[in-house]
Amino acid sequence: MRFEFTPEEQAFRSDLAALLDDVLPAGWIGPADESKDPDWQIYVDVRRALAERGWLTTPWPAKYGGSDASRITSLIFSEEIAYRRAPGHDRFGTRMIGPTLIRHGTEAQKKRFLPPIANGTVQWCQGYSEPDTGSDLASLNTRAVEDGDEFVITGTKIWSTLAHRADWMFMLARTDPEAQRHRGITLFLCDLSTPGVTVKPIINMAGYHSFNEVHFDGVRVPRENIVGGLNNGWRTGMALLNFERSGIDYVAWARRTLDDIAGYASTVEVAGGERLIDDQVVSARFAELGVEIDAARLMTYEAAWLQGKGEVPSVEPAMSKLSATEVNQRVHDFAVELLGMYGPLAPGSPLAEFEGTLLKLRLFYTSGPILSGTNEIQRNIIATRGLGLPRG
Amino acid sequence: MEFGLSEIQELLASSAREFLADREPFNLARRAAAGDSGFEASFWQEIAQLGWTGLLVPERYGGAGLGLPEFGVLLEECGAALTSGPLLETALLGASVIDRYGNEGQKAELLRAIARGDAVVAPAIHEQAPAWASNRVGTTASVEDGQWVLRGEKRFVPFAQSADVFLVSADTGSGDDCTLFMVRREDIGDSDIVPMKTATGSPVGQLILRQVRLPEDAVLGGVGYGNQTIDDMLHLGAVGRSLQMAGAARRVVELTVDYVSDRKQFGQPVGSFQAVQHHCANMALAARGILLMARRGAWSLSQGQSREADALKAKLYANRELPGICALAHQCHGAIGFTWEHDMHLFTRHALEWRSEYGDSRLITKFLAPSTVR
Repeated sequence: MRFEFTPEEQAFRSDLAALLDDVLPAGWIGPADESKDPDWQIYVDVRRALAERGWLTTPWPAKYGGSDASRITSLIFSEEIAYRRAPGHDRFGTRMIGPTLIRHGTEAQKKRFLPPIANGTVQWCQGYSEPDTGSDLASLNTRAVEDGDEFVITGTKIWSTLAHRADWMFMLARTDPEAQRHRGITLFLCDLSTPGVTVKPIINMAGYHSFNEVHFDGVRVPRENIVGGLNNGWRTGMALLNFERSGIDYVAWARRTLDDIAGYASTVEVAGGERLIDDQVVSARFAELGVEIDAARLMTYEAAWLQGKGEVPSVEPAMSKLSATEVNQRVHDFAVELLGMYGPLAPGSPLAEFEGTLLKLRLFYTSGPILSGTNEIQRNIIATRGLGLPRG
Repeated sequence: MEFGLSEIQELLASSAREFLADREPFNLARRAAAGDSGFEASFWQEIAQLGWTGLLVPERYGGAGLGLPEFGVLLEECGAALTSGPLLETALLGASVIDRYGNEGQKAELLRAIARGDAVVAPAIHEQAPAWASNRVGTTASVEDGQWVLRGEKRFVPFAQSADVFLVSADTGSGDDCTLFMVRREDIGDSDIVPMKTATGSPVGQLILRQVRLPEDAVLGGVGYGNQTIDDMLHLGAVGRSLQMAGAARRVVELTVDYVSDRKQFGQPVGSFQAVQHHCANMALAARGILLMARRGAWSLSQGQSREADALKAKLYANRELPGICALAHQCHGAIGFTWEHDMHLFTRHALEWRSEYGDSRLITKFLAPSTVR
């Protein structure tokens, strides 16, 4: 039992914070809209600066461009970036396909794909969901048909964040339509500049372009771009999701907004000359949300601590994702409500507080409990794998 | 960050679990709820033999000299088993503040007695309002003929009928801060301890102080040290209750999972239905949160730095989550959990009582308001 960071971890946190504050534009409120060129440039600059210090991939083994850093260090990394709402953290490369290649990739794949991720010179995106395939991922319909040394991919992937800026996609496609549904799926790496790939923007409910629909019309992918073996994509692809599943970003986003709104409430006077933050109803909400964030943060660090011991937990990451995405929603809802009639002012409105960012985030974080395994799926995981209840 | 239990913590937890399982958990709680005394001297002696009462007492006074994280795993198990007895009040609060503020003579006498299981120490600090809710102490202490004389009335005194020593707060009129006095059972008349009935039947009482005469050395830690001592009790009590609440939450989840796995409707266990599974998942999630927050609180206090906020945060989280866990558990148990015979109501009763003690949510949010702004 030790609920504090080591001096090395604390030093890493402050070094990282200093770098981020140096690279980000002064007064950066975030979040980035990567579909806009100036924001994409910031993304690229931050990614490069992090890569130059070797920090993009600290948890990777040293021989692949990492520094064998602890899981806890990796969480600190995510936490500081998310707290600043900074772009440039290529999760798809550094936290999803990278670790998957380290564990399941061929030597040739590791040599080819890992260095650009560690150097911050490539952008990856994910191709799992399809228009008719969400939580029931094994029902996916995108086909990959063998043709000599290539596979020909036809189908549609959806909700692909950053596909409009990505060079590569890791994707699941059906390679054996006769096999039982989990058995005929393969994980591919697809160069998005290949002929037949079309990326179409989807505007999210917050009003900006963050994800996409990606069409594959006879796209030819070489056999060497299969990861984890033909028809073995379910296992490899699910293991990849375990690398992803953590609530740490949501915890940090929630902390940042609670801090922002506390700063606001400390300056605003309400009737009678009282500061908004001294209002008892308001301060009670701050205290409640504060402890909820703490609990989610502890669950998140606990999951990382287990992973750091070499375990492959499923329940703790589910708890982390569940608690973090839900408290993050409550915090952003509270923030917009606390702003009163200024809360619903749109970004760009001259009188909007925080440039209208909190409204944008309040709307955007509707996605937290839905993406990367809905919170209903996480509850199923806790109930069946954690508590041992029978599957319905 | 290190979330695991140490070897000694594991050992304490597993031996406590075995011991309490042997003593038929819930029975004492059930008898107390039915009106019997919530204190059993023989049980107290047994746990003293096991070293529980002296776990925090320094070795030179006959204790084990262990820390709050170690004591905490015992409290978790006691919470899970709804064990009655003044372990928190005597072995945590009493032992800690006597060790921290007592003089050599007080420590030598009382800490040894606590470790041996010979003394039940009970804080008597609340009046109309909880001690931490008000700076005003109505009970007075004046010096008359070279003796202290206490007059006043205390409420919500835990284990009032069984205590050997009360730690009584009183206003000496010498400043803003109150003073803590050690009052012995024999200084109080039998009729001046008035039982108060609570939801769990835990033996809380009123203490009437009618010109109680005390020697000069009955002061704990010096005149004017009372507020500081009471703050310590709040933080220790908040963590202690949170740990018990964490244990109880774990047990409620276990009871519920067992029940919904056995109970069949429509030809299958009700635990196979997603609506029920999601109730259980929500309970497990909140129970984990209570545990992590409580253990962090215990660890933080053991570091001796100014991390008291972690203790209060743990209690606020537990206050807000445990009654909800119990409500979901009742829902999952259906009608059987609504009966007197079933154990679930014992947990709900404890949740309501524990929530009110050592910092209710309103008080804690007041204390925390500036510190949550990080």
